[in-house]
Amino acid sequence: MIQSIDYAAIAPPLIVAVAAIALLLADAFGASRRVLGLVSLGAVGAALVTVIALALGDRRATFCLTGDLRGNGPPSCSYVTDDFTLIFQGVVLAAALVVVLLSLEEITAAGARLPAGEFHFLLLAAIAGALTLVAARDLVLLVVALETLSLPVFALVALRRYDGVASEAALKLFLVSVISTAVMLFGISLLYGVTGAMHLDRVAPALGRVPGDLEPVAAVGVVMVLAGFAFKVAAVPFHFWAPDVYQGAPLPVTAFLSVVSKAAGFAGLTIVVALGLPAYGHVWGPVLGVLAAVTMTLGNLVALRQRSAIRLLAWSSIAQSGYMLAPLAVGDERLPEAVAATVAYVAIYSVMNIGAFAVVIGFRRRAGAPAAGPAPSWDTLDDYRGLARRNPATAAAMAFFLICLAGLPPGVMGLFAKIVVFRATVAGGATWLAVVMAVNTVIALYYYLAWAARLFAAPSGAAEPPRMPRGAAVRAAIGAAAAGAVVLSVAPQLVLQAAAAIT
Amino acid sequence: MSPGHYLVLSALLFTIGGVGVLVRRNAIVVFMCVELMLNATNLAFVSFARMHGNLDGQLIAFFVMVVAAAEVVVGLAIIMTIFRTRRSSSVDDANLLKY
Repeated sequence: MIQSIDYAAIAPPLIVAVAAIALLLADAFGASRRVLGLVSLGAVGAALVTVIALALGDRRATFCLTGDLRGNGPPSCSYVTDDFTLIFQGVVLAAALVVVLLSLEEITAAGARLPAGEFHFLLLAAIAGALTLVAARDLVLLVVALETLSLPVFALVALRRYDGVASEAALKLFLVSVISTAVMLFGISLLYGVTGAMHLDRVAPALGRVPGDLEPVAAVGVVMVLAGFAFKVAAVPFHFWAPDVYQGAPLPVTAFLSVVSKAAGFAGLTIVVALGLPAYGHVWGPVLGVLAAVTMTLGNLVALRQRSAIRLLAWSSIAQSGYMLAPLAVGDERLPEAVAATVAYVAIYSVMNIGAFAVVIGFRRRAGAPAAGPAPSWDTLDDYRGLARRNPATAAAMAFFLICLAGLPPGVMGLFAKIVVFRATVAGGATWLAVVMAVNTVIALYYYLAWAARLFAAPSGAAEPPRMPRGAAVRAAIGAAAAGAVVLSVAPQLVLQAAAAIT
Repeated sequence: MSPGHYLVLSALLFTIGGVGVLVRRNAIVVFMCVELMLNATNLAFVSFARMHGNLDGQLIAFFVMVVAAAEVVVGLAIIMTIFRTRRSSSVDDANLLKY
């Protein structure tokens, strides 16, 4: 029996994957860097247009079980483009567009010596993995997509191969990642052993009627699966790769890791717990609750003592992971509301964090810092003093991103994201977690505002950092992120309603 | 032999791999231990597939093999670059990035 494939449904990852291979070939035939960059940009843009077209049309599903295999069970489709998938594909592609824009100048820079063809190929391959991951509804596809997302990123981190820091960062990321993949696969094998199914819509009912003596096996399987995703979203105790890798990797790759890769990780986690494991909400709910509380507290406390901009963003994005995990701590109680809160927070976080990274990249690139090193110049927070006098527009954008991350007005979108998460957490009966979150929000105010205040302070008098870049691509990236942040702050209901509609 | 024996063997292999990852200091050996964990997973998948009488478990075993092969390719390349710059493949020597 031949299975029909709905090519319209799989168009976004397909376009990106085909473009990736075309880029690799074009590079082999000596295409110029400019052409490669434009093709890469065009492919991500085309995929974004396809996602919007899919969002306007019917909801689709493909790679479904047919005939005898299906029996009387649920449809069991491996690849589904529902509202959840489309929101995440939109977020991933929009963020990827900004990352490609940021990398255009980074890899052509005289001192960088990054191979352009490989860079764009690996970046597009990772994006294709992320797009597939958010649409996967079956454990096999989920694992393969997660690896398609992870493996190119290791190579991207290590791409500056003459540089000891970059390869060390890549080694740390690689070892932690493959170990967590192995643990997650063992967890999946236990779940498969207990249920005999791989499709999430078959795993869920089977888990509901597990015989009593097998319940501990299923519970261990659930916890091991969570471990794999906890690594991807940099939740404590799988967080320690994040600051080192963020610092060692080329900066556009760092932006990719902290936004695209994290959003896809959260999508995968949400898919697995909400669709596959609702019967074990009493197991993963408290586990995720404790993880969320520890993650946000540790992230914020360590961020307080950071002096380097990149490491501060790394710890702050660990802390933000804690906020995103918090709604899921309610377990199977009021799950749809919790999923909507997590989706809304991830979407809003992506906009503000990619904006902050765009400014940092623009700032450091122009400053002519050595491409890397244990303590690169123009990376400490004090270097940002007086930015408002030299580049008022960039400083205003940065201040706005930081205020959004802190969740203060006028950064209304950050505020709304936090409120939605609070409401879902309290409604689900995890009041203690809401209290921990409130305390953490106050701690985080300090370092976000201290950075924002430096932008407007008088210059420190020491060597003046040069002006911000004139490069059109970095400016376009900052402008796009700032426009997104302003639109969502004026009308946060755009995201909140879309997220509420998925359930 | 019942599938149970294979599952015990798989759990043992996974544990050996896990302990190896934690105690060994050479990046190559750590990496080999990860491969051992992945193969333990494959054994568990195949035994469960035999228990349930369906093919899903055997199918994912193939995908795990492909994933493991891809990981070897990327992983060895990274260890090579580390070795070239540092003349050592011990994970204790990877100490440029801290705090």
